[in-house]
Amino acid sequence: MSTPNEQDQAFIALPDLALRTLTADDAVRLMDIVQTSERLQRELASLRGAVGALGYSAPLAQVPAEERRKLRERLVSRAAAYVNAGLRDSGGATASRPAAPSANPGGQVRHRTGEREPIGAGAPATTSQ
Amino acid sequence: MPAFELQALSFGAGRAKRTEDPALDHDIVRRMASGDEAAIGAFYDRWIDAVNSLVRQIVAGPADAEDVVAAAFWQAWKQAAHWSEERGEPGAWVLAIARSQSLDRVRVLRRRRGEESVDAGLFDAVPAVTNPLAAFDASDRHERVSVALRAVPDEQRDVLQAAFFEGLRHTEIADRSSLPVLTVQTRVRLGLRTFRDRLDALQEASA
Repeated sequence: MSTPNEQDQAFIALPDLALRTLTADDAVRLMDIVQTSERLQRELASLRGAVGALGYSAPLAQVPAEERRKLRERLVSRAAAYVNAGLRDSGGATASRPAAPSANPGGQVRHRTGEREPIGAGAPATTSQ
Repeated sequence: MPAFELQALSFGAGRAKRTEDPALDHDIVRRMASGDEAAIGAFYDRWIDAVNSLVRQIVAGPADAEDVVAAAFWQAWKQAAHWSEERGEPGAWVLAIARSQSLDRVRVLRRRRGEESVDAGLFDAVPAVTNPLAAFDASDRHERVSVALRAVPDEQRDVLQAAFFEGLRHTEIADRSSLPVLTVQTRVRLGLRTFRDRLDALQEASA
């Protein structure tokens, strides 16, 4: 439970949380207070919406057609490999079973979540200059 | 609303285009969640320009920027099953992912250069966001946001953009600008709220 004074202080600082410019400790402290107040939660959601909108303020930069096509192909092919490896069930949930054997059994990436994914299907990371 | 803003909004008075159908994005993300690999292609087609524009504004090197763009879409694919309407519109959602990935990349690069202590990657959770611009097409979104930003006083806009595009903390902006930290803090906070209020006013004016 937080005090009214703590909530008022938190309200003032919410833009920093929405902008993700706080240290982790400060963010956790602030979020603990936010969880106790519907007013703070509403204000944070609204400010996050504004932060999301700021993303549209970047000067429009179109991706060259060839680069766009290549990256698209890599993403789709990697997604297909992800599904084929059993990492995503058709029901929409991420499968918990281990990845299916692949031609490159050592070629798997372990993520922080513990899931594995094949890397042989073409990682989307690109390196063109 | 100040007259100049209404005048600036006149671009939309006759053509307040609501050409986007947010439900289409919802459907695409649900298809991604169900394992339809073609859906990530459709999602990419709809959002690549916005994501690319944002990433290139934050990440300097073209190769790094490409990596981040790819990583953002890949994270969206992987997290699609966790998306819900409460998490905001898919466009704002993927832009939040892209910004997060971009700032992480920039901070990693700064650490390599010894410019920043190790504190990146602390905000892995993508924030839930709403998207007041979901119904507008890309050029209208950009124009509306630009109009709202222009309504923010220069001194607030400068620090707000430093915080948003560079992920700089108040102390870092203060160091760079030789302003007191409290001044920076106040300007950032006021700037974001002013921008939000102007954006809301624009939305209401065109509703």
